[in-house]
Amino acid sequence: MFSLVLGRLTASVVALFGASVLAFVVLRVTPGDPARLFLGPFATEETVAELRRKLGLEMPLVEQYVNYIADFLQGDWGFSYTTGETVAVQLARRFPATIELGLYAFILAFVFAVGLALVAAYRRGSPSDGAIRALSFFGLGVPPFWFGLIALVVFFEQFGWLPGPDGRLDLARDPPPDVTGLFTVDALIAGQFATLGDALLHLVLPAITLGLLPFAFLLRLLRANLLDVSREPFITVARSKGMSRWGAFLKHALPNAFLPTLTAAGLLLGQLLAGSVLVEKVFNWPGAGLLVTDGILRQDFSVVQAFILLSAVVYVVANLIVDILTGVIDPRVRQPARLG
Amino acid sequence: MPFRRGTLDVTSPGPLLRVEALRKTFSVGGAVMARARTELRAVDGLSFEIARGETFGLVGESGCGKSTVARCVLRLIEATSGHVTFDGIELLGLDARTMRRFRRRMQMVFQDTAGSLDSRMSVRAIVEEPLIIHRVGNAAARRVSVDEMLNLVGIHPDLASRKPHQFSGGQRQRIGLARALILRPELVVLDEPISALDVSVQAQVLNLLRDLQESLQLTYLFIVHDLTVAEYFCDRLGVLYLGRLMEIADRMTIFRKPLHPYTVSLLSAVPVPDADPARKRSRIILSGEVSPLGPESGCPFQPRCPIGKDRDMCANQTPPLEARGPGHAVACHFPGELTAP
Amino acid sequence: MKAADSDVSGAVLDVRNLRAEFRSGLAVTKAVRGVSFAVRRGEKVAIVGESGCGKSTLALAILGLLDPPGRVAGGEVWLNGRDVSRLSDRAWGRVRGDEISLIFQDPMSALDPVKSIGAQITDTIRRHQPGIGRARARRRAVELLTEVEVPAAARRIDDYPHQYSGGMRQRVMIAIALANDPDIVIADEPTTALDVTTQAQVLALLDRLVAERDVAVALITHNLGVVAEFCDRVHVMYAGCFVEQSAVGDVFSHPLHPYTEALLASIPRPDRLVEGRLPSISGFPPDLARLPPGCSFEPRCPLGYGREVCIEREPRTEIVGYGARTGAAACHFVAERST
Repeated sequence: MFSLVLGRLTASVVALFGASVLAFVVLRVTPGDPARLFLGPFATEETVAELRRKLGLEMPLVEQYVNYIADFLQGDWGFSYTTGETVAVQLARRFPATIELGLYAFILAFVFAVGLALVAAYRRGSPSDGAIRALSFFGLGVPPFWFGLIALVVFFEQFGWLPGPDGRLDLARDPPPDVTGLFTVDALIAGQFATLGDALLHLVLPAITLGLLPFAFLLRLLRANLLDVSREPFITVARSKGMSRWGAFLKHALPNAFLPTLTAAGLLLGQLLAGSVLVEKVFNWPGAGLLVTDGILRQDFSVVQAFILLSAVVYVVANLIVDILTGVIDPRVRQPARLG
Repeated sequence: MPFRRGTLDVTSPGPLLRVEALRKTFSVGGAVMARARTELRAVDGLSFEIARGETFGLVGESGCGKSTVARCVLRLIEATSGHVTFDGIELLGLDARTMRRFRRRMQMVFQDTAGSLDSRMSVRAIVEEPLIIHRVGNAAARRVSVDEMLNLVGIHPDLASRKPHQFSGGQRQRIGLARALILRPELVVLDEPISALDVSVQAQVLNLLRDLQESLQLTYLFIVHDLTVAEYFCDRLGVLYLGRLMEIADRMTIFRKPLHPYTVSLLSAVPVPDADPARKRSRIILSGEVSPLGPESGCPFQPRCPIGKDRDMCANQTPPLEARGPGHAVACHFPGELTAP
Repeated sequence: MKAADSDVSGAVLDVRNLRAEFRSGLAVTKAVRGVSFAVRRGEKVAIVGESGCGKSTLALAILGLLDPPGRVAGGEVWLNGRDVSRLSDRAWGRVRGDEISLIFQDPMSALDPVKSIGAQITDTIRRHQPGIGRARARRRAVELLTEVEVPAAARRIDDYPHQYSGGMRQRVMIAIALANDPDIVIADEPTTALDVTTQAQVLALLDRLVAERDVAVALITHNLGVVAEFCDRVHVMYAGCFVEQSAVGDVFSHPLHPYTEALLASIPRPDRLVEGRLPSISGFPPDLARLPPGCSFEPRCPLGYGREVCIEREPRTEIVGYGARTGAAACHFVAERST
């Protein structure tokens, strides 16, 4: 087990290194001069050139990269020229919102995907299976921002059941005391149940919007895996022991079908971060995604770079967790077959 | 029908195939870091010869290395050491280009009829492919060749445009044979060609193999786990255990007077389709199972051997393969001691 | 239609005219076409046939495990004197694993790869012996493993299937099947995937355990040698029907049906060295979705090929007696052959 974790960690570090290089290079290569942007269109050539020198933009790429990584590891994630704050501060302020959104989106997607996949695979070929599959097509095909907007129109504007795009809480309400940065958790800790309710209500539409695509993907994958596994002889053997069809499905097919699905789920976790960019815009959710969108539009190097690197970290950590979980669930990974 | 002659044909006198001290080891076990990787000796010093026109069988159970031997002979995998001489020419160590020309003269038929045929190709394309690879003839000549071959194996050429999955197991095996024989090889390695087939079809395919051997003057290396099939079909056979030859003799001798305890046990373990209660014999039941990481020294069969289990000599000294009669060699310190009950 | 020599009173399993089919679109594949047989306590019965004859479907149909697109189309299955063929899945749950159990053919994929061996044995114990408690169930599982000759059972009970060899896994299957002292075990090709020497070990083991517990066995196989060594009676299956039913002592010396005879002749034997060509059965096993109106074996039958009555009419099972021995065969010319 230990060697498994160690091996994966090493691979993770290598992956992160690669991602950081890529992020760095890509941004340097794209058109746009940050020094000029900062100084405005009326600045002279010399001023621009001097600022470029000061910012280190004239140094060879490799040197710039090394400096950047050194700074990054020490917590200096760059300075955002458009807002005047350090990137670290901005991200720290915004990230919890994205995490909270992503977390609920993932939980919703996961729970519903597993539940519906079980029903669909168990009742294969029936109308309910057809309906569930239709739902998955919908989830895959619908653009999240379109769905978000329509959902807002229907549930906020028409019926007024759910709050509108005013962020995480009602404008009049104060956020709970900051412990984790996740409003729902903090409100629970502080015992502020009205705030908790409000935060949850605000999460409904954005979480569903963000989770729709992962839900559809997981659903289809798990259903297919369940169908494959249910054809395996050990399922018949389980039933021959007296297990009901549903029991065999739940206790034997699901754990085995889960393994290949788990790997895909890890990828999805990373993608939630990417998806949040658009969803946050629609719902005015004050998260890192919104920060990055603005940063891109204003060509703010540092923010975008830090975000890319952070995404890479999330991705890699998610996959690391998935790999370890696979080792936990699948004994074949933990204990290779004995020879003789 | 005379043998086809190519530029590399020496047609030396002597055996068509000679294998000497063939060894193949695999490294197994252990993660990337440090933990001791053990050596799996799949083939451990094997030597045998096959004369032209002969059918030689390699018999053994799973893990004995027989499939590995077949692949080493054809250089589908590279042997660790040893010699494989085909028509007097050493094969191991030949460069790819020269080896390619030899491949025309030696072909293989596989056990897995479905997996060894590309399910996307039509039967005609499958059988034609070797001709295309070795640039034999033009399209018209190839068509004639394929039709002729299909007829020879009992598949009607009209069916040649179908895909493999539309045929039964027995028919697929015939298609595999057609593909192997289209280049008119001299040596055909048959790796468990009938194990996956129904009983009633097995006899058909064996008969077909016999007929083809006669009409095309083929030499067979027949890999099989069923000793009774080997006794029926092969002229001579060798019994393998953990990569070593335990006994080698002609079929009559193996049938009448097997000397190695493993051969005797193997024969005894096969159930007889005959229910005469008087003949319900007591069988030799071996204990334990084959451990692929065999013992370092001594006889590889010793841990399970009914007569060698408790003998120091068997545990410590590896018995050499020695002649015990005309064309009969046994690797045992006490050959003939264990007899069928 | 039952063979005369099976006296049904006291039968553990009594299958009556069972029919099973698969539907896909408009095509109907009739896998089991009116099969009847009975197994008494302690008896060992063989169902012999090649792949595609319907024997595995028969096993599943008997156990009520035939899932769509397959279905039982008719007939009854009586177990211990009651009709189980129409039981609900829930009611079957009490019967399977307790009165009747299954030994599956492929040991490599017959065990759940992510659960320990011990868990897979104890779950069946605890299902059918409620109130037995974890510790006792585990002890029982270790006992069972020892009985099936798995070495170091107490230690290996927590291992996973991939850490066991094929022979070991098959022994585990036997342990699972016998865990609750069933009245009858259906063994579907239990040794086909094993090496010959392992096969001998496992068969010897099965023989001993079955005799000790007086369990009836329905052994499904294509290996006639195994049948000879292990079973008392044989049913030969072809294209979904039983074409011959005899005592084992008779079927090898006096096969009644041309298929049985041809099959016996076509296999190489360890006790006789055949020279020259092996008499083989020409043609291929029939397509169960498109069966001819007459005898399904006719196209390949050395006796009936081209004969009008064989092409037009499906033969009925005729009971034949000669001397002290009786058997049954579905052939128009069975009387001719048995004299």
